[in-house]
Amino acid sequence: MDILTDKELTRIFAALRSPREARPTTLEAAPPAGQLPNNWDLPELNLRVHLEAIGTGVRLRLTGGEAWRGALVYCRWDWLDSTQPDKEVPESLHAFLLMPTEGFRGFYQREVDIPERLTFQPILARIVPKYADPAVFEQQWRDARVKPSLQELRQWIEAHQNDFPPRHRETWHDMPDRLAAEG
Amino acid sequence: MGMFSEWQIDSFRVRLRDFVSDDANALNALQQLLCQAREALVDIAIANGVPPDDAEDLVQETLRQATTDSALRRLWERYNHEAHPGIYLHERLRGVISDYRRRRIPPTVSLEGIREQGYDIVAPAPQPGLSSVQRQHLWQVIRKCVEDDLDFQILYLKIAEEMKHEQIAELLCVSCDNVRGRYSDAVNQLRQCLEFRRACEALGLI
Repeated sequence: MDILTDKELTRIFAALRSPREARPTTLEAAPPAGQLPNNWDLPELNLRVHLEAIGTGVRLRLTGGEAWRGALVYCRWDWLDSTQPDKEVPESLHAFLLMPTEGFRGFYQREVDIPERLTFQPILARIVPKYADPAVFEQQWRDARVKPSLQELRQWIEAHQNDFPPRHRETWHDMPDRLAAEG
Repeated sequence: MGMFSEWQIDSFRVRLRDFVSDDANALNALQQLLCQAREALVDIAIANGVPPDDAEDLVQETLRQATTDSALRRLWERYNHEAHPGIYLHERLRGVISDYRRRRIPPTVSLEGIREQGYDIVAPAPQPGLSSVQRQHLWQVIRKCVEDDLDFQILYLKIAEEMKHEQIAELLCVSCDNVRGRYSDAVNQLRQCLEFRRACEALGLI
């Protein structure tokens, strides 16, 4: 028997939504001149996100707790092209980050440079090796503007070889070679 | 996007290319092909909360917009040989539904006007507010209740980030059906998790 009713769950989920600042929801125009540096503390995820200006782009720094140790993180920014306000022209930037396996006082930190002056918080997710579809991942990897080296990807795949379902192991294993062959 | 078979998708791309190359017969073929998704689109509209009576009109409008000269040319310019009729129609339908909802927002009425008409002014029920620490605590409880990292992330992206299943699937590199099924299972797990219920009670949410 259900313990919580739909009505109760709706109310709880509404309360779980954090107040949002300085990040457009998908398909709203990005703030044209947001402030940098910018920080977001996401205690629900045990993660801090920091963006600072560097050159014509930004430097993204993620600092996370144990759940982020060695994680392959997919980051995504979506916005509307503000140079064409009369049309809804969606823009996006995808990036992969590999968090380190060695941390400091239980925190793991990685910095990457993003070649676009983004001032709002990205959407982030950890790839879960047990469930990720290698075909979908491979395409996302190709599309990502920023990503670790193929050698780092190979190491991540090797570290998770036993986590992948048997039917996907070979596809994952051969992926770095396939991607390398594409140049 | 299971509205079209692989063969139909290939055919759509060929016809789209012919259309932008000014083949006079291509538009008719494209219209016929896209209209085959009519029933699937009606189902999607209804699943998105559109009353069945209105769903068919919205789908008709979607198909009309999708088969205009400018829309088809723009599709080719943006996606070329990778244009996907299912995704194309789905996005068009989303826009039409969004316009429809906007039109249905009731006009603003002044408080004085309501009083003059003899109605009571009922204050909306206050939305439950949680501090950052309380929210963090509740998410920790959720983490324990659902255990699996994928399920936790799906719940977080759906509830906190208000993302759609398709977007979550893309982000986690899993199929959309997987996200839909796991979200539903995870919500059921939460419903039955005693610790979650106790935490919600302690925070005055239920």
